[in-house]
Amino acid sequence: MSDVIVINVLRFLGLFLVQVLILINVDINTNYVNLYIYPLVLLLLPIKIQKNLLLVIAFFLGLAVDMFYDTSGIHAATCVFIAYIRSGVLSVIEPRGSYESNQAPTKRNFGTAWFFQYIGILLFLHLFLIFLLEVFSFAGFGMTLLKTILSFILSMVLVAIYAYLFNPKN
Amino acid sequence: MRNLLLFFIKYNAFFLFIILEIISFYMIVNNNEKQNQVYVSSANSVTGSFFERYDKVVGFWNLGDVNKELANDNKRLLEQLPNAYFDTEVDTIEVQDSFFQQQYEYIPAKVVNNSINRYNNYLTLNRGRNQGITNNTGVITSNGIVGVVQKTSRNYAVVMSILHHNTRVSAKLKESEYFGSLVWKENDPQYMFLDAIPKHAAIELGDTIVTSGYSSKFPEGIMIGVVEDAAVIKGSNFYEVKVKLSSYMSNLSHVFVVNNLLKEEKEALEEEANTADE
Repeated sequence: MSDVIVINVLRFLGLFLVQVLILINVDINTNYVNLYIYPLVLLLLPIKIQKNLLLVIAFFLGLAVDMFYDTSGIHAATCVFIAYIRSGVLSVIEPRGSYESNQAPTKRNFGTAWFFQYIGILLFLHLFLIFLLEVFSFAGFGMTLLKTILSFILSMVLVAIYAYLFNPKN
Repeated sequence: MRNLLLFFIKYNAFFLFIILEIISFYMIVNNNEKQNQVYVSSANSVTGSFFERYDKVVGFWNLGDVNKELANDNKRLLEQLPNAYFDTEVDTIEVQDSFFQQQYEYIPAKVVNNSINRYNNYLTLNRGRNQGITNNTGVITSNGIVGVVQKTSRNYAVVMSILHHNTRVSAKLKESEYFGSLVWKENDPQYMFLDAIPKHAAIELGDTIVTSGYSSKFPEGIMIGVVEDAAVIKGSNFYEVKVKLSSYMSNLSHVFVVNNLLKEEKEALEEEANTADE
């Protein structure tokens, strides 16, 4: 149990620092591609985590990112939303034989296809919400969508690198 | 009451979600400038558009004053820039020598306007009559000739570039001393043509072309360019020599105006001889 906490705290700090120290400066094409890997912190928390705790973690993770991105509230709102629908998405794509307690939704536990499906759905939503809130209107919707798709593809590459590099159980 | 409490407890995650989202959106709208504008403008679209129209109408009344004020500001600021000051200093070196009499004087000048892509091209120099520049004097750079001064004002001179269809510069082959007239035919700023070189002259590609010194505009032996191509014109006794210019007409900056101190004497004598002939 303490293992789970240690790993998640380390992941929180590690991915958060990578996000706000490195990825924030990566400038591939300023208007189209922003890289995000920090949502993994939320997405890789144990499946049966208490929902209130998940929401609070999400809120503070989002706030912390907001501070660095000068986008007060955007990441917090997005993270809280993603945290809230996470259990719904997990139950929709539940594999045969339900989840065990304290299992984390990782590649090692549930396989590559399942993992990328799960991360893909939520990360895409996450990016889409961020870009939508940045514009704060449905004007230029096509642009928002294009930006989401391009950023999503490159962010997924980062997720894959993380998954294959560390391949965590928790 | 008990049921209501149970309801809240049962769906506590949902309410926490709502509360956190409300906080987030409150922050988004409150702190983010861009979002704030959206919020404000949509919340006050009526008053906003009213004030905008009002300002559009009233704004016209004092446009004249505003323009005058801006123009004065611009004038004042532009006059303070260093490039608003005209540098009138000229350095010429005169050698006092009793054995050789100095014939040419070089006045340094800066090109302030230049063109190469028109049918007839001109340059403007920041030196004029006050600095001793006269009409019909040659202009050269360190690596070639540039043109001939055509008009002068007190502080400026307009130069007919060699890239001009009326240009005639007396030039010769450096090796064999055959001379001809240099003209600009095609509209290519890199090439000129040397006419009137007789058929029997030995020309090789790469031969150097220099000024002849026969006209009083340029001293003898100033580099012009090299032979790029030479062909005898059909049915004539003369070559047409294509010359690649050695001066880069497109990025001229500092040039020298050639002041021939003996020009008047020479021209007066030639004039006298010509009129005596007639």
